[in-house]
Amino acid sequence: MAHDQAELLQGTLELLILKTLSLEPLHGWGISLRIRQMSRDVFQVNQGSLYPALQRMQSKGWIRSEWRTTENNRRARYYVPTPAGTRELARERSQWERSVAAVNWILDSTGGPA
Amino acid sequence: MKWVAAGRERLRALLFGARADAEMDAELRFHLEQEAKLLREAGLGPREARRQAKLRFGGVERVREEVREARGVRVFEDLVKDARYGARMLRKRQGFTVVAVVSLAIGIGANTAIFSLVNATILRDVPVDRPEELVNVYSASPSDLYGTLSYPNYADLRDGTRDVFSAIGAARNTNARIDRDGGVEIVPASAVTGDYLSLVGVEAQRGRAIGPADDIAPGGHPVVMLTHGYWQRGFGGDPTVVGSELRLSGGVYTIVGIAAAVERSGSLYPRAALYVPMSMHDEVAGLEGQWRLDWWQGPAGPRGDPGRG
Repeated sequence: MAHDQAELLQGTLELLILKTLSLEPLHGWGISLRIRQMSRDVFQVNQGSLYPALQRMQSKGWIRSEWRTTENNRRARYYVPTPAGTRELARERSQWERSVAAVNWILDSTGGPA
Repeated sequence: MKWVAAGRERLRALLFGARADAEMDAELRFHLEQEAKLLREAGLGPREARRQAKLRFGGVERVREEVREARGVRVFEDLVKDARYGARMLRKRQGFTVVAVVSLAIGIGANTAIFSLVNATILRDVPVDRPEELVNVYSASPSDLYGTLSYPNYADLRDGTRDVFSAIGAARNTNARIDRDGGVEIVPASAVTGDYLSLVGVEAQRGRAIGPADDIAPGGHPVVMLTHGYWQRGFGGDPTVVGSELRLSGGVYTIVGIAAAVERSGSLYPRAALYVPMSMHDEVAGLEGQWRLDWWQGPAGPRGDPGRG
């Protein structure tokens, strides 16, 4: 599986976190697991790097956190997107799609006069 | 309500730095345990599962540091942003700004003034030598709790408490007329009893201070001691004035000394230009007899230490 893994593009981690949380509130470990599952283990996310990102997003007011009890009766910090976070997700997503389209457009071009 | 969330988070970081750290630790611990559990379920032994979980996580200590940084840096950045926003709003609403600035200025000014007063009268020691041994004596009456004493009362007090206080001094402030070089100058002067200057710690930098031997027969011993300030101002610090004569309120006085630069007048008369013996008060002040009755002002306190003297 190692050769199929890819480095996560700079800046996309926050986008992925926002997307994940838009489906349901999760604790940090849950987020990392969900991203791995959804990306079919393609992204090699250093799990620790999730937490500074979560803190930054919280400071920006995109997500908030609260301590809840897990299904196994453990206390864990759950993250919930704020309305600002929901708007940010839409914004980052359209930006992402524009970038991808542009990169694809370049890659697909057949070349022309130099 | 983005700013509410951001503000709350900032406040939390500021007020609950330690608590935020503890919560972060609990969160990271939870993560590692969950990951190890996942690996155990995949067939790894407990020890290997813990090891792999840590490996996948990356450096725990570095993550803690980065989270803290994300908390702190944000606070500062937002502070700068808030300050800019504040400045912009103040520029926009100038009327409000003027009112606010003036209110603040008045408030700060009033507080400064009150503090200066409290500092000078209560917090700072009075400018005397060993203030802890000095007491002030007042005559108290229902209408005036801090009344002054008459000279006869002072004399009675002095003579009746010799076994209690090592010395009792008194001073009365007045004005003196100086005739010099064809000009006339009115200066503030302090008439002091023989013990007064040694009591508050006024020493001579040249010549000698006025002492008990100077304060004898009324009108009979015309000597004067200059303060350092007046010596500089009136005589340009000329050292030869000691021993020379000075025409004071119509009489001829001998300058016996110059007070030290650190002036210790007590709190009574910081502006005094010169000291004369109490026995010369009437001559200097140009009064006849009145001060012996009820004009008396401000006795200096007696030394509270009966062993000294």
